[in-house]
Amino acid sequence: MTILIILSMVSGILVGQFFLPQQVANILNETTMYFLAFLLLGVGIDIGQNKEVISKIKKIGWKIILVPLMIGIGSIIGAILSGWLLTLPVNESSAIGAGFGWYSLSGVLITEIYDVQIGSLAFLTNIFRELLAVILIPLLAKKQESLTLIAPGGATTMDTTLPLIVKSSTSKLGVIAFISGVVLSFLVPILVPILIKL
Amino acid sequence: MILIISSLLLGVLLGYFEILPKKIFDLTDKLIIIGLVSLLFSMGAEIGLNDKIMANLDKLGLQALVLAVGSIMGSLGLIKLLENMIADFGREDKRQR
Repeated sequence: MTILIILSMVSGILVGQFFLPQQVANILNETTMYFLAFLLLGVGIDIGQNKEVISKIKKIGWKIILVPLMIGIGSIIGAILSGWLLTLPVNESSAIGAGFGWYSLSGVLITEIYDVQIGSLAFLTNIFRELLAVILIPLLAKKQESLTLIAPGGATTMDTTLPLIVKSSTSKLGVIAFISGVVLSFLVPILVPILIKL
Repeated sequence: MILIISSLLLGVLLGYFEILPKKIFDLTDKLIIIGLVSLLFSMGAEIGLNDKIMANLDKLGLQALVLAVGSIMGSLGLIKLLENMIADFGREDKRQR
């Protein structure tokens, strides 16, 4: 699974860099969306068929909100600590960490309200976060099926990394991942502007 | 965004009420893999086509990698902590296949 994932991604990057003409970029963006929609239809069917999932989620109850909160706080603390290694100021590193993998939004937000250079850094960091999550999810699943699968993906666990989580674990974890991704996505446009202005 | 959420919800409804013939449901696993490979390929192609990302890769790349690894490790750490505090969270049910 992991090899298949890395192969698809790397061959995509190579084909994009060396073979595709620039005009394809816009079409590609749309194509990615349709692939994603198609894929999520399949994931939805998978989740819907597992009827006990909903009752299990109800049993966990309000505690479910702790999952995105812990992932969010952890991401920001981790970014501040690693930013400290790179001698980045706390407002920059924390805002980049609060992108939670949503690279387009966090990159644009920081570019608009703060600085282009840091905006591109946020963009790249969060792209890397998504790529690393794609690689890490099947590896973490091999060790144990637990909440740790949801953590690397951040906000992307509601869409791009959701299929991977469901495929490598259980539908129940998929539902928690989706909820967590929605909450984190909602927090990105709130937290990034607040943190960058600290 | 609306397209994405609605296709997920449509899938859940189709799956829950078992509207489609059984054959199609048995195919969902394969559909997910095919969809996943196509998605990752086109995501990769988008990155490869984006000159801004490819050009900045060496300059900002290392910093970005350090920050990405840092935030992933931070979130993994706190989720582990949460899991240790609340034992019944994700662990019990293995996929029955």
